[in-house]
Amino acid sequence: MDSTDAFFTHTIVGAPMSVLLGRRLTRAEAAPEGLRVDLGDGSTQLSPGWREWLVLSHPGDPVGQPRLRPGPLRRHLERHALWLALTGLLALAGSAVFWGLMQWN
Amino acid sequence: MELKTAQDTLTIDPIAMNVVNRVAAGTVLSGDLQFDGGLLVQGEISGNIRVNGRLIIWTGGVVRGRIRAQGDLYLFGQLGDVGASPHETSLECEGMAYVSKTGVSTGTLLARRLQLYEGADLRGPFKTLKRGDNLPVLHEAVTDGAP
Repeated sequence: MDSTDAFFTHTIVGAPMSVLLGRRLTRAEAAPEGLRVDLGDGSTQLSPGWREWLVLSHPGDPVGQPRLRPGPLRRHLERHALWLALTGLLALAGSAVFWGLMQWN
Repeated sequence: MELKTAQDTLTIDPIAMNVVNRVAAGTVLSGDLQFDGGLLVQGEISGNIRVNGRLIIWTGGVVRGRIRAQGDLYLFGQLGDVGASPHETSLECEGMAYVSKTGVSTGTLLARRLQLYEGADLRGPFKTLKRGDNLPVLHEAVTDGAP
């Protein structure tokens, strides 16, 4: 391309410019989500996008039937789960401190 | 927390990329067209089109028909009509096809490699071109029935 061609190209097509293409789609993002079935051994596995849904749902429940309400003991434990966890952690920390002091002395 | 990758930008340098042809916005071309060098489409073109270089379909640009591009394809606009059959438009790209976040393709897209960007609208099929593929030459097809 000589200077005349470059001049006309620059005049007609335009000056160099930058344009946004977007965020590149990786292979993992482009892959379909859902249940993956291994044809070799028949094992099934959920794709990452569906695992959270599985945890929050109740796949074992029969469709259209109400679930049994949890018993009073389970409801009591679930209601106080944070306090129970905190108590457990404090007990663990106290035990570590106790045994550390015992070793120190 | 989802980790977002950085976005890609493309610098179009018409001289360095040898994009010496331009169909401006508002221009409508149809028929048997051959472009020597790259082509920037901001208007509308249709028919049997051969581009001996890169093909850039700009935002608002529309390309229909049978197209063959020897270089890369950058799709910011529209390939094929909205709602049209994938058979009505086919584009053979002997390089890499980049479909940006504004790109829409309802035609059949054939390319050696494909790069999609988030938001790209690929409604028609995509086929990978292999090295051994025997592509029909549009010029020969056009002159086939000529005396």
